[in-house]
Amino acid sequence: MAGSNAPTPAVALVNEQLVKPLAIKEKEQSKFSRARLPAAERRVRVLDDKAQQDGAGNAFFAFAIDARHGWSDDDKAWTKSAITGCVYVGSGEVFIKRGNGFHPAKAALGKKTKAAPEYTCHAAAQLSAR
Amino acid sequence: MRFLRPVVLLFLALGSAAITMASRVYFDADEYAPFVLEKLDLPLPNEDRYIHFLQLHVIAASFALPACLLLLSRTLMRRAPRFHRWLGRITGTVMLFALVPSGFYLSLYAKGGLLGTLGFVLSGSIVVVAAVQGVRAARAGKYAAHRRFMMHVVAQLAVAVVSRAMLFAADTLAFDHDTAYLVSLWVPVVGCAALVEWLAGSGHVFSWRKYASLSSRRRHRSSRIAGLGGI
Repeated sequence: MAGSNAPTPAVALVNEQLVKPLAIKEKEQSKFSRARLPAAERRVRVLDDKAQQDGAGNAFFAFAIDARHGWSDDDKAWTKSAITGCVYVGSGEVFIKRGNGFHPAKAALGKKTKAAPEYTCHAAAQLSAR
Repeated sequence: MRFLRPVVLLFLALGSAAITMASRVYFDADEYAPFVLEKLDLPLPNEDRYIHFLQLHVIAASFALPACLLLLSRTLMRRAPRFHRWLGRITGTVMLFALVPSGFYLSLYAKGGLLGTLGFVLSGSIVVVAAVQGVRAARAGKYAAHRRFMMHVVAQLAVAVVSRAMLFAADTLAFDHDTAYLVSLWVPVVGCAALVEWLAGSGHVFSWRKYASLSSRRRHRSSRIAGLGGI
């Protein structure tokens, strides 16, 4: 289902907390809706070589999930960065980007969530630059 | 052509039932439906208002399309004309005061930006104009015109079914989703309107204008007669 580029624990966490539950959830989704059909396949890319520190001093990795829709398997069928977010390997938390904020991963499953604190998924340097 | 009628009606009835079934997710208080999730990325200025309008739209549509299909029944018209009239009045009220206004609001946040909004607004506008003119035609005893206007209403409600079927096919074949969305909207909206005109016959292409001018002439004639009568 997902790709396996390093660092592996981060990819494994995103797969466990986001990609797999999303695939299970989407099996229930009606095909007769104006919403886009669920992805046939997803792959996780971790965007950072080494962990970043957020404003609270916690280490996180940014990630992007590419999604493939439809029958085709060629590169054109893949949507790059269909979901983006960050993963905290230490605490095992996964967040996704929605609008201007970040929400817990279960938001992608349709659960109603509140935006995480502003420092979440933002490197300390980024926050101080604002 | 005659065998097509039950096939089309069955397709629309099944499509309407499928949409209604699929729309139950919009009433789940704990979760967002996938369609709403897509909108949250916009983000929506007023999430609760959007969901309330969506729910109103879904309830109105789940009544209006099956009701319109029932109103097309010739048997019903022959055997229970009063029921036909009352169902027509209720359906017209639901369309004009719930379905179309809520659809206009939802169209502001449609996929595809302005083109998406315009597609839904055009469809809703055809429904409003055709429904009002259809009622006027029925009240004037012009049943051919009434039928024709109401066919436009049904055709635009059928867009919901046709466009979803097209979108499903396009998504399955991995066409670009945003383009497919607009094509699956505009082709049925314009196509259904054109199909009704074509079915109505080439001799009636300008019948909307003809009907309007006839009505106006009739009003003038009535007032002249009223004037002659000294009323």
